[in-house]
Amino acid sequence: MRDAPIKERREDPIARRRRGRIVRSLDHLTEAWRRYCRNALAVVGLGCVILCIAMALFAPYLAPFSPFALGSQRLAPPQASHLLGTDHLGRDILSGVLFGARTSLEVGLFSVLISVVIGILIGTLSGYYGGWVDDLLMRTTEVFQVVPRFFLALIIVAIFGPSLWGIIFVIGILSWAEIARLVRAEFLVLKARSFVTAARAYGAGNAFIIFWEILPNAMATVVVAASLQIATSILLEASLSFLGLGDPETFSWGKMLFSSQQFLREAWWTATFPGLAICLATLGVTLIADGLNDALNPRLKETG
Amino acid sequence: METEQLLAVQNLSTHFFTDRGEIRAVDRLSLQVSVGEAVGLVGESGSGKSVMALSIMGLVPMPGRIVDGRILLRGKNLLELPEREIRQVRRHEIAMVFQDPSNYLNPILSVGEQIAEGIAEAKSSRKDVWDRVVAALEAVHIPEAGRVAHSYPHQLSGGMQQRVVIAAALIRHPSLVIADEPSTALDATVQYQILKLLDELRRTFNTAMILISHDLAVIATVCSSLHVMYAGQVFESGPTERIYRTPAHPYTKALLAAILDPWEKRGKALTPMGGAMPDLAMPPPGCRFHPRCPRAMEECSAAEPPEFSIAEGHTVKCWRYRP
Amino acid sequence: MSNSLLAYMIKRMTQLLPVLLVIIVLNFVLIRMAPGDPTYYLIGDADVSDEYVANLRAQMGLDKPVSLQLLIYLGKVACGDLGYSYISRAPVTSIIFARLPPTLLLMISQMILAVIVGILLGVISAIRPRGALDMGVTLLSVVGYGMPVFWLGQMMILVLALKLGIFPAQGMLSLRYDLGPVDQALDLLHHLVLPAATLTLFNMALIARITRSSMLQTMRLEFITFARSKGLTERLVIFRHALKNAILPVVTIVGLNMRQLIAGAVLTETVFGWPGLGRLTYDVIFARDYPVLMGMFIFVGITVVMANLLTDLLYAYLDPRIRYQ
Repeated sequence: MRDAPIKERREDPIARRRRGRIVRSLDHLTEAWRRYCRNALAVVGLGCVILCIAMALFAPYLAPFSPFALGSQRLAPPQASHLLGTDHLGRDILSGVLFGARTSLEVGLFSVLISVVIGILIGTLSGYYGGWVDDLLMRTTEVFQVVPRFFLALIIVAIFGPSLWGIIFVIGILSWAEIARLVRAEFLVLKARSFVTAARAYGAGNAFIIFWEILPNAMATVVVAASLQIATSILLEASLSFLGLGDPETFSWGKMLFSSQQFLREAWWTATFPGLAICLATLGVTLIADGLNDALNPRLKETG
Repeated sequence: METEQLLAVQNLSTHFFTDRGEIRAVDRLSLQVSVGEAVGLVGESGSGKSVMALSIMGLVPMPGRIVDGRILLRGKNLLELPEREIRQVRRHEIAMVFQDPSNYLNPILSVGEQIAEGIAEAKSSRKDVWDRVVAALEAVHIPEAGRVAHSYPHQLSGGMQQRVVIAAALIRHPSLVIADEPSTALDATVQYQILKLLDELRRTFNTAMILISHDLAVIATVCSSLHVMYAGQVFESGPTERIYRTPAHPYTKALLAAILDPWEKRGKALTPMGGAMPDLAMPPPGCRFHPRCPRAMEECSAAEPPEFSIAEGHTVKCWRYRP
Repeated sequence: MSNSLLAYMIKRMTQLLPVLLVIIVLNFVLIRMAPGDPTYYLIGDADVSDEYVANLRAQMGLDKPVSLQLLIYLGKVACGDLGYSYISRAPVTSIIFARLPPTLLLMISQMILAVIVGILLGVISAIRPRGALDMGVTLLSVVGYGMPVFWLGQMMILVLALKLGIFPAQGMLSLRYDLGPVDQALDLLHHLVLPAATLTLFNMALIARITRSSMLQTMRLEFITFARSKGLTERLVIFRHALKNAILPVVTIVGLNMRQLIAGAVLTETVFGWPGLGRLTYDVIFARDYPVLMGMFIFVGITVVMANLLTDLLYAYLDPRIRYQ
């Protein structure tokens, strides 16, 4: 275990502890990264996601056409000019796939950001203060967990009209429950542990304890849960778009599948490629989540 | 008294193949148990005594494996038997009592069912089997046996649970019972009761017993002979009383000295043992105890001592007793 | 049912009641926030006098304060009155119940299959880790985790219905009038295969994965060693001791995933044109038939709450530690 620097310093023990913690965290992280890289599937997942990010970032440069551009060749099979074919309005599928990556990644990232922030907030309040605060917040969390998320999102978007940020927001505020529970659980476990008492002995205040002692421990599980949520958010957005509730101004994989429904018989490529793209994204994210789980929370492996 | 040999463990080696290396949990260990005899196995945690017990039962968990030796039950080598016959042996010949009954009982089956499945045959009637279960519970002095048989483990106290485990073991009338720290997880008063129960049942049914414990006092209560185990090897074995009075091996002496005897003169200093159990993946050369031994000599680090016999039935594995 | 079990059930019901209440209140709020006038849904574009509209508004209680409206609404819901469809003027409740049977058929058949096959696969792959079947199960998890269910449905239609022509691509029944009852039943089954297979594959993946990890954990517990030490056959050890214990977390998680079932129903029925509640949802969204949509939400809410209750009941029944406190 790394110790603080040897030279004698009349240093504030809290600051020193904070520095020690950063150093330890960096150690943990490098160790976890090495563990992660040894996991083949996790690396594959990372590769998939990097691919998706590349698609999203470089879409304007890579795409031969604008995804909205109507073309003359309707329902054309994959060929030289249209590598993945065209849809019923002559739009290039490849461009659609590339730009669709942006939508999915935006939705995935931002909605999870919202839900993580809310989740950590509520979980912290609930776990740290306990008592009636905890009860009230847990009741609320349970409501959010039981209420059918997909259906509610469906209704809200149907009533208020589809918009990308609306969808992001809705997904975000319906998904925080699990993270809140995880954070709260960490608090309950760690609140009574010795190092918290030790920190108090240093004269640390509440905020310090929350941010520097307890939350970092909770981060491992939160990161894994958040990663999984990115996948579910992407799927949720795709599902909503598939039902025709996607933002008409953005291009999304789900929307492509929506328009492909009628033309399955004639044009298999309109459904296959966007769907494969969704698979790539969600699979990649899920594999990363699993890999993170194994890397951050190592368990005894069964050998022999 | 019959001294027919029931179980002979010869040169047993059980190793665990882990990321850290090959751990020699049990290293060329030998012991014998005669019919109706109570043999003790003493050692610190990590000495390999539980692994020994599991090896005899054939229940060594992964990544462990028995790599060498023989286990002869009435002359038949258990390690060469097919799976089906080993199951028969577990069913009729050797039974095991474990350390923490709350973990070892299945929480969702009733206690009676768990005892019954040890003896239920295809042709036996349910009523017969259940009667025997209740009788077994009565034999271990559980009150209201009929009602308890329908209870679930979490409804019973620790002492009752352990009696259930013992009942499950003895209902099959095995020739040998291996009890691995049967009383350690229980309260002090209950501990004594359980040990007395085991002793009584052993004498009633003439069952042989291997009692495993880290507590010499526990062993002394029940066993006529004992083996002192350390780092996978037996350091000393012989009649209990002899070893108590004249312990030979330095480790045994240290164990005895470390026991707090309430009747000892006040003011005697506590003499704990320094150091810790060696890493069984890379044991020290020579005698495994020499790094901690207060009486280590040159030869101790050079080569492993063989077993020397110092009296009738009393053997020691220590260079100090070279004849 | 013992006393403690009953008490537990009542406790859970009181815990879940607020959820139901929230759903209904939310419904109310959403209806009120929906664009357009509520009377529009009843009158539409018909040419009616202002007096008629005023009367209607009074009838619908729209001139009363909001809190009173809420109470009226709650009362109506409690009596099973969920309003009327904008399009067909039929009561929402009857619309829902008319479209319920196909959904029930689809859901029950895929649930049974998914549970049985999923658990079996999970158990087998836990017994032989890293074997061929284990790899297969891991691969199958890909389906459950990384693939949108509606795309899976589309691909199944593409391959099995359109290219190979083995199964019908859409619908529940063929439009034929000359089939006898047995043939009709067979025709129904024929149409059922693809949508049920899609959902089964999807849910099976999750169940297999959870059973597998639960079994792996359970098999390492000490009471398994005890069971083996009694000389029991490995099959008994696995099924009576390990599986019965391992199944408990599976029940919990499957119960929690009830919501996924709903999403699955809506999406799959849409893809396959299966005339159930899922497809109804899709149609109704397009037609902007809000009363039916909101009615569906309440129905779905009630279903989910009941499913949660049943799961808890099942869990309590299976685990004696909860049954006998």
